[in-house]
Amino acid sequence: MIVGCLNVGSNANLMADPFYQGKRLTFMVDYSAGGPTDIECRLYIRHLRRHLPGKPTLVVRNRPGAGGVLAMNWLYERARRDGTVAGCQTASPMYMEWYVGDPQSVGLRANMAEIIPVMFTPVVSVGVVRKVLPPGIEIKQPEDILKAKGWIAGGFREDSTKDLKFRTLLDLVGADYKYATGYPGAADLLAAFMRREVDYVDGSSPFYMTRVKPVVVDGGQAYPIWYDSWVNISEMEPAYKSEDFVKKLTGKQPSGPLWQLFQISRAYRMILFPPGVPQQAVEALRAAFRSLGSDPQFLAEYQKIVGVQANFLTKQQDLRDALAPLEGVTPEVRELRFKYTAQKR
Amino acid sequence: MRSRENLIEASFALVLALLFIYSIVAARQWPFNAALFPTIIGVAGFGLAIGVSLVVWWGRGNNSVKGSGIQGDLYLEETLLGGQALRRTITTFAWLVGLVLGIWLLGQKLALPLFMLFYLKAAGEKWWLSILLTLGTVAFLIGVFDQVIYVSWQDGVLFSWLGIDPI
Amino acid sequence: MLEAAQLGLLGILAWPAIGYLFLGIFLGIVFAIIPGLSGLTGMAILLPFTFGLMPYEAMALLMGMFAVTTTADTIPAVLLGVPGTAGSQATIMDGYPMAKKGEAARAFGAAYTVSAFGGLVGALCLVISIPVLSPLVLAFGSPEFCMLGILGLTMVASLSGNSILRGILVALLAMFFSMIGYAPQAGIPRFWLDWPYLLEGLHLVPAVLGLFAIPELVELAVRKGSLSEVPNMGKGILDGVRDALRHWWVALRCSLMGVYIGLIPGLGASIVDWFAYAHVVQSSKNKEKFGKGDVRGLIAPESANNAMKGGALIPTVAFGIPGSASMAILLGGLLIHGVYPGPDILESRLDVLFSIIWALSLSNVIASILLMALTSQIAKVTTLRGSILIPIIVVMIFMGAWMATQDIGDLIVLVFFGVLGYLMKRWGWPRPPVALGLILGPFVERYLDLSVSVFGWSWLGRPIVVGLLIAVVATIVVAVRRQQSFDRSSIVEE
Repeated sequence: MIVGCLNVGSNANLMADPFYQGKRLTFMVDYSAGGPTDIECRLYIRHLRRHLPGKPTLVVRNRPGAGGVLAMNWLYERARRDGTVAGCQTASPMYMEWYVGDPQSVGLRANMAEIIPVMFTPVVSVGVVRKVLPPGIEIKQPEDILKAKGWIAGGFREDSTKDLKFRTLLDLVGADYKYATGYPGAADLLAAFMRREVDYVDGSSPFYMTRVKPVVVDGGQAYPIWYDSWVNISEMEPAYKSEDFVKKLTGKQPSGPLWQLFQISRAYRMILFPPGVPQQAVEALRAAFRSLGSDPQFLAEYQKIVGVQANFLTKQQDLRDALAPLEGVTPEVRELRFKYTAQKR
Repeated sequence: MRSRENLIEASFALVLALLFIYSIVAARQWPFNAALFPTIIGVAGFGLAIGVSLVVWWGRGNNSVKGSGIQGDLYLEETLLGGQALRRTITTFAWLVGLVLGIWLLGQKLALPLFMLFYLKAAGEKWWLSILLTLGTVAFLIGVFDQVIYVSWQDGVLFSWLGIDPI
Repeated sequence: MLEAAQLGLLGILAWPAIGYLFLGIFLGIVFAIIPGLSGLTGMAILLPFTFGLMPYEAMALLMGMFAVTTTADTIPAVLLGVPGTAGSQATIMDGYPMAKKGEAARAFGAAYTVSAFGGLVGALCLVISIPVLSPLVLAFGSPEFCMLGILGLTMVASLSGNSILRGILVALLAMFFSMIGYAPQAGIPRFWLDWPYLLEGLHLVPAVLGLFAIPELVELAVRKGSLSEVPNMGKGILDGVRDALRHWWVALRCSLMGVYIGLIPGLGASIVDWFAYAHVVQSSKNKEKFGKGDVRGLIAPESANNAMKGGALIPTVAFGIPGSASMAILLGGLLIHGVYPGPDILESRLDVLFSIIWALSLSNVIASILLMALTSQIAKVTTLRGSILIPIIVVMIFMGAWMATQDIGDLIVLVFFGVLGYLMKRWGWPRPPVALGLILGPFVERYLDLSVSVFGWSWLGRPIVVGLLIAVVATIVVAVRRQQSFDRSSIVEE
């Protein structure tokens, strides 16, 4: 099913009149204006026009709600299918719900297998703990968290994919922590951390680089312990990459249902088309993002705002690899996810 | 003495009581932390709704429209009560509901200007003023909401039924 | 610090920054007048345009827009009974009746004066608090938020007039509505009727527009004639300015309240005006005119909602914790220009912080002067025929509601609350507690659960919590005694 939707666009002829000549291309963002998804999307738009033949007008609209479900349903059911409307969404939870969860229980009506992926970019997450955890354990390296007991990890909600990621990782290494949910956003978590209400906070790399690091890490209150990325990122040191985090804290290569659950909880910002969009549009937009991904002006600004190097997946194989873990989910992993998220079926 | 108004108001309070019962019953299927608040609100609300219903029913709610000075809300003039007022009220709500249906069927870009035109004419305004304000509405919608804010419009379902592109 | 203040001022006054400031002010006024648009929408639109600007210019543009929305939103609130933004809901309570009495110009005179005053108080508080930001912001945790929310709910009593029972009942109804959608802590969707629109809960803007604007619209349609029942404009704008000066103590108290509430993330403009309004009702000896055109009922919310902006800036710049959604966008603007919250802006980029403060102060004053100059013309709207005003208002509120999620559900919610608001007005049930319940319900539930989860029940023993609990009890006792004394005087009259 995943392979089918990726094959759209394989026979495009790009040498005819540019597809987007004289057109307006609208990107629908699934979160509110000003949030990380929105800021990143607007950053793409600012530079993308230079790389899109035909130089269309680019527009961003927001359709927040239900953790992205409203925007995805809209994209699938109501967006025009002529290539003039695309989603710019952190849609990985939608894919997770479709392939592993229960879409009906969250009102997801979009058939994610029919949605056309144009570009994925992995969201790098970083987790930090308080420098001194109960009962008085000073954290000098990530391994030290195993000596601490009863510290509190703050999160959004039990069914949040972001929370699922860190909970599976911490459980994999056997950390002794308590999970407190209900914080409305990353900024509230940071505030709770500073008030000493919680001892652990995580978030995406823009949030880490622009707020967590300057305010609490550089100030000596916090220690970064893990980050999730396919590549090593020096700015995240002394935190370990997630795979190394598990290896160093358990002495074993990560594996098993919990590790699989962690891997499928990875987040991506995605550019998506609704089904039925002409293959010319898909190829034109993929090519534009490929070109954008090597634009020095864009890359410099991206690094400044997002905190990491841009890594756009536009080749079909890369997109396939990103989605493949979802198809290989075992019933055991599926059950584990339902247990973690306490989701009703 | 109980008036028809008292009866309707008391019934409204009873409807609220039913809503609060629903809250209590629905909460039973949820885990504790998700059920606690709906249960507390449901119990408190049910008790109070029954109380208010009885207070109104037994006539002590007669002064609810007048009140004395501390009322932090606006007053509906007593002179507005009566048959003509009720008809105008129902008509106004009918316009609003009709507009929602119109937007659902045709989308805002068509429904709102049409509403402007039809309302003004139904109110007896002159053609030139009605058309001018209708054109002003179109300019406002397109100029502000479409060209500046890029709002997502409702694509009227009538167009999809007819298989044509919406406006 | 003085040098940074000077640099910041010169940066804002220099061309083209000053030009961007005026542009931001103009756009802020336009966005505030159109219900549902708000400063948040405007700032989201402006944000990408700041990418290519210098930091002072970017701050001038964004702050020019941000600072003035709660000044200009008074216009539709007073003239039409339609809240221009979330921060002008309470303004309607007395502002609209003043317009109906032909005192629109006086209402504007008072509102603009205290808006400028409140904005300056907010900016001043921000400057004064720079050395002590950390303890100020960090003193309030989940337990304190919870108790503050409960204290806010007790203000239902003050806003219920002579019928506290009904007021509490509708507040509970609103809290039931606020539970629609995902539970704050768990992935459990509640009361969503299998309609995905409801999964994120009821949005405040369509509900408030329906609750307050539609009943006034219906009344105008029923009454026919024009909005102002008085043919002449009544007393003018200078009388309003004099009112503002006479009630300077109300303005100052409410401004300080606004700053403090602005400090608390998640509360924001939609609640600060109700807090201020309830406070002035509670604390006034002669309350008879509230709800009928008492200028104090206008001064309180208008000073608070402008001062709040200075308060919201404090956690935003000190810790990168946005005090409101608009602050999140401002933060985005700062980050884009390589200015980071915390030590960076407080120490090495203090000039940028001062450019924000100066922009906030200047925008408030400039907007007030500009709007005062236009007041006599704007106030003439009240003499237009209802048959012309009504469809215009309908278009505005329908588009305002649509801006919530741009789904047909927004319009259904609008009309539903319109019917509810009409019935409540007809029976004399107070509507302000509905707004309080919708805003504070999720707030209290979330922080109650967090408090118990993180602290156990020991959270009830924290010093600020105890202080707030005493305030809660005192508010309830005063309200009950007031109701009893009203009941006794009603019996005597009978």
